[in-house]
Amino acid sequence: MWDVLLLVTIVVLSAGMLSLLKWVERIVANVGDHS
Amino acid sequence: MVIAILSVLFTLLLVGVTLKPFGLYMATVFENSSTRLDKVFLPFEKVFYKLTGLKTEQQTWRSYVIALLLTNTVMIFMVYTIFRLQGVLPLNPTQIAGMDPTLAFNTAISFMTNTNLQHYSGESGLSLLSQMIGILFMMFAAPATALAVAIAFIRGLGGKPIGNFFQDFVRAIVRVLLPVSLLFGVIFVALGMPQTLDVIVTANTLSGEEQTILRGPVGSFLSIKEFGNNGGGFYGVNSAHPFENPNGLTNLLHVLLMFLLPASLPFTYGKMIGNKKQGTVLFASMATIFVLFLTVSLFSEFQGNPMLNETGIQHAEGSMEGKEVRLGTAQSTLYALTTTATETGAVNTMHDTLTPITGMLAVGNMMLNTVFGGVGAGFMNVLLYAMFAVFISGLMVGRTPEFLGKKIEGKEMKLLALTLLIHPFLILGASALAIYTPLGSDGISNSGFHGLSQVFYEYASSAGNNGSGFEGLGDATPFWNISTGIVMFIGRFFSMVTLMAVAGSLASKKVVPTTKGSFRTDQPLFGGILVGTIFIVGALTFFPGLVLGPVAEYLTLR
Repeated sequence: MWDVLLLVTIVVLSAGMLSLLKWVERIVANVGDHS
Repeated sequence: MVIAILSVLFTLLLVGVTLKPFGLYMATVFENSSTRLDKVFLPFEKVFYKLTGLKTEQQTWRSYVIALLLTNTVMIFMVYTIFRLQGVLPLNPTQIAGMDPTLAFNTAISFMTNTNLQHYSGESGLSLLSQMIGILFMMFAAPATALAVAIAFIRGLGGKPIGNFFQDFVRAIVRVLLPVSLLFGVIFVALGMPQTLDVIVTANTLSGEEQTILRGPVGSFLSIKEFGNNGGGFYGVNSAHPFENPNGLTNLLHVLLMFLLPASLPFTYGKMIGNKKQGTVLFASMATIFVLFLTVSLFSEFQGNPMLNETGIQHAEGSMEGKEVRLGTAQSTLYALTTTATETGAVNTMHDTLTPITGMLAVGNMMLNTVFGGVGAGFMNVLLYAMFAVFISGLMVGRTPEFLGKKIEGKEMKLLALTLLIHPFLILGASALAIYTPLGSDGISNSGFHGLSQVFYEYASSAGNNGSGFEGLGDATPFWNISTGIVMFIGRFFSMVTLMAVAGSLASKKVVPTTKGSFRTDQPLFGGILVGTIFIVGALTFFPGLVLGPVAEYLTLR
């Protein structure tokens, strides 16, 4: 049980970093910045 | 005391003369320049590429980051599995059982993120297979990853193509980490460290009893432990163990190795961007902060603990509580400041017993994570602060800030601010959670201000990927294992993602011609502004927490 939970946590953390990557890509591309 | 201080100065002098040549060598390695060493290294690299089928074509900053994230995640899974199954795997002469799941989670993330926070004791918690395949493998993979990213970041800032993660990773291991580790491994064995698979030795003590002494491949482990800014000990007491650090000479070499990668990177940077002065200014700024912290710490340690001094205990050698007699106060203090400044995490003294001011500066090193900082990641933070310094200076004189001829605009500042904020958020947020919940607060062994310092230190060490422990904290519980594991992971990869985005953004910009009005970043004035920026931002972020911990403790002792 612990093993599944912890391995899922690692996957979630990695997925979180990939989501962050997508988000910062938008910042670099100035998406939504109308200043 | 005079000899002790001279030994510190000699150590720093030795470190000083090795950094620049090594930094320039690394620039040659990562500029992919042809050298005579290609004859030695290229065959190894070719075999690796052939076996793995990896290609070395140019990547965008995005694909570079994805490659490193996925590679590191797979490695965490692999090592987690080894730790869990070590009880049934070979090379387990002392019959050590599989690691507890939350501890395996913590340890796998810890070593993959170059933190090496250890909630276990190496000699009793890991089999030889886990030490040699799991831990040692990650001790190469983690610094190679960080070095690769830092080099890609430098290329981006310099307007060059980002490079290829796998090529940088392999070059970091084959041309930097392996040769130096091999050389120092041999030296360490010659200086008395064990290097054997014959683990158990039974000795007869003077009192006539039998004592079991555990050995292992310590020499080869120690060289990459220090050189890769890893810090995870073969033994639970780390470099305080006589097998890990037998004498003053090995202690000196430990300090040299800890500095070698992170403190030579400014020179690598200077050469790679074609302006060596830039690198020298960054190095001088970091060195200034380090020397300042070290001087204050030495003064504090030689003053001793006022409460112990009052009892009449002889304290001519300074505060020797928690220190190894063979190493003494000066070398122990130098080690403590070096291991926290370079985010290595190896310890040769009990940090819990450092005087409050030294404890504060040690934890301050980790909170700032820019006084050289860990291999790669630390230097990226230095450049982050450099861009902040440029931005603040630009605002003061009403000019658009420029760094290396590239305009720093709103989008870069958003990413830099995000990177800067995640570090205190992780440390302070996790500390608050630990203190608030019984799951965390039950682990605190000291009441009052010192207890708060224990918690701060643990999370500062995790977020800064340092790995040393203040000790005294009951941290081998699921709460501490999981919470520090998550903090280590985010502390490591968040800033890599955001800073690589900054590099990608700057790489695509045109260089603005330098004019008389341009703010030079290769002058001592900029170095001064950089140091000021680091102190102001660091003080604003962490000072309230430090006041409640070590500062209050210092005032209580007086």
